[in-house]
Amino acid sequence: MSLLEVEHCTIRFGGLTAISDLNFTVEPGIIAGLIGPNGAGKTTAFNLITGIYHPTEGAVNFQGKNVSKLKPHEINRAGIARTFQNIRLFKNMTVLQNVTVAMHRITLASPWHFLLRTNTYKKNQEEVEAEALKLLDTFNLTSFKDEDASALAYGQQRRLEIVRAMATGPQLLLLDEPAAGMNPNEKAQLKELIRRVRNEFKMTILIIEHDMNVIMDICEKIAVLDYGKKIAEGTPEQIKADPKVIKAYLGE
Amino acid sequence: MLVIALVGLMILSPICHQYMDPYILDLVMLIGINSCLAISLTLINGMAGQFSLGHAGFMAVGAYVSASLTLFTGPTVFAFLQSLGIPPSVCQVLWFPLIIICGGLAAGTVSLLIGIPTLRLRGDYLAIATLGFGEIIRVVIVNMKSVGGPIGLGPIPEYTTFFWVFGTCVIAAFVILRWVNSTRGNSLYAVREDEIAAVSVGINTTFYKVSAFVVGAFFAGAAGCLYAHRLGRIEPDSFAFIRSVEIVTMVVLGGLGSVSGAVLGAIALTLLSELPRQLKDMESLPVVIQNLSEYRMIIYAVLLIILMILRPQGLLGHREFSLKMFRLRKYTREASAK
Repeated sequence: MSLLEVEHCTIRFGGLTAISDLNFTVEPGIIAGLIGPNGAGKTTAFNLITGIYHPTEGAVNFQGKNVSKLKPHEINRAGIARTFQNIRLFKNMTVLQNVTVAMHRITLASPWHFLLRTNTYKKNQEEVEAEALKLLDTFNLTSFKDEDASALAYGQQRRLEIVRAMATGPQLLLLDEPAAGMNPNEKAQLKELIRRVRNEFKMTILIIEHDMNVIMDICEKIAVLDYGKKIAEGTPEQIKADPKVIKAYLGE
Repeated sequence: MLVIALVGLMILSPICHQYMDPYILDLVMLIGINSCLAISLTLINGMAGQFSLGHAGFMAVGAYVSASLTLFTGPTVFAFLQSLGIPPSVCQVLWFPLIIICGGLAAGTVSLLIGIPTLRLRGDYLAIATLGFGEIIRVVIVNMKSVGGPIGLGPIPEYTTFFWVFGTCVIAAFVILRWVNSTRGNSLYAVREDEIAAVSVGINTTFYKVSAFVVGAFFAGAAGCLYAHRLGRIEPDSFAFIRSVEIVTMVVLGGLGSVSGAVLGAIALTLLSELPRQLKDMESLPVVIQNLSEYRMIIYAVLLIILMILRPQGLLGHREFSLKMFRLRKYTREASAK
């Protein structure tokens, strides 16, 4: 069974159809790619999956359940986490706080615990921090844990955003242009990192990316969007050879 | 720590009431009440980042509810307790914390009703909506004959003492700081920093915004109760829009989102508005200076403009006051010198 199914989704903003009759599936355990020219509706598709937009028609199913009516935070708790095209970190919070604040699923909720600083709270806080540090360590960010997130370099901020998304404990991780603005060296590291996330943390990953090297190297399955419609779907080799894709990117 | 602070206040309170000049004591208590208001507003405006201009409204709810309780049901309860053989002074000690909490709960309930629809708005729109609701509360009170309408309510027994004022302050600061500095409470900062990112990591932003609003209003209501039982008389006009602006000024002056900053702002602004009144009777001074208190609002405005130019983040910024601040600054200076 597919982990994520987008079924006949259409989104209209007034008279503009941003996405029309979109269908695609993501199978568990793969790294999937979503590509297309500028303005094709890729980020809109992400916003659709994460509940920021609701489909005008159609449905989004996650693990067999329809999630298209849920609020964004409920979708995150259902197991879908994302990063953003323009980095959205909590800038005035420390790197560690950026991660721990995303760990709702394991932090204590009862006010008495943190008001009275009970032993249960202290223990819980230690656990949360230990787990956050483990994640930061995987991404080589441990040494910056007490710095403000805004003090990090650009590539580090991108990585921190991925850590923060992973801290919510998702099954499906959506990365919106993770390689944007990175140099070739950083891109190579990123590819390695995405593979490790899939293998070590057993997450399924869906990536939007403009850099074809990155996409073709790491994705096992790619869907191509143009003008809100899916024009092709398949393995990297199939996509590279598809005349419709070449036309969409290069023109006639 | 909380317990030590409260016991300390309990010992300090009678000493202050015994030996302090009544005018100074009054001023100190006013500073305390304003601090409590500023602390509660810094939670909403600074920590959760939801700019509210209706704080005087919540204070009014707390003040009126608690004053009505004391005036209308207080005598019956006191009579009942005294018939059980409990001396009046003990009755008072039992009664007052109860109505502080009642005032807070009433304000909290009202804020819940106001908060759920208005907190969908952002920025300027939220400020205007809360301002509107604050005024609605005042107008409703003006039209309520049972609480005196525009004339006000009084005389209210003056139960407020040094201990209750600063006890409430300490509890407010304690609850707020513990909350926002806990792993869960950090979510409030996340909501302030970036709402879309906050929902995408599973934070229920509506819940946190409304909670901050309600907790803030609770302590504003408690402060309203203290205010009513200090002055002995309340009228709707003392909870007008200008009052909300005063509280916002304190918070912005001290630094949005800093509890110690809010206290600093409250001290500065209370002194600034009270001290010029002393100049009134000094006939040796020029007339302009004698009438300085008339120009209070102008002074506020000028002060805010100067502050916004010189130090836009407020006196303390987001941070809390600590000795570390000075040390840190030295380090950064050395680092930049290298």
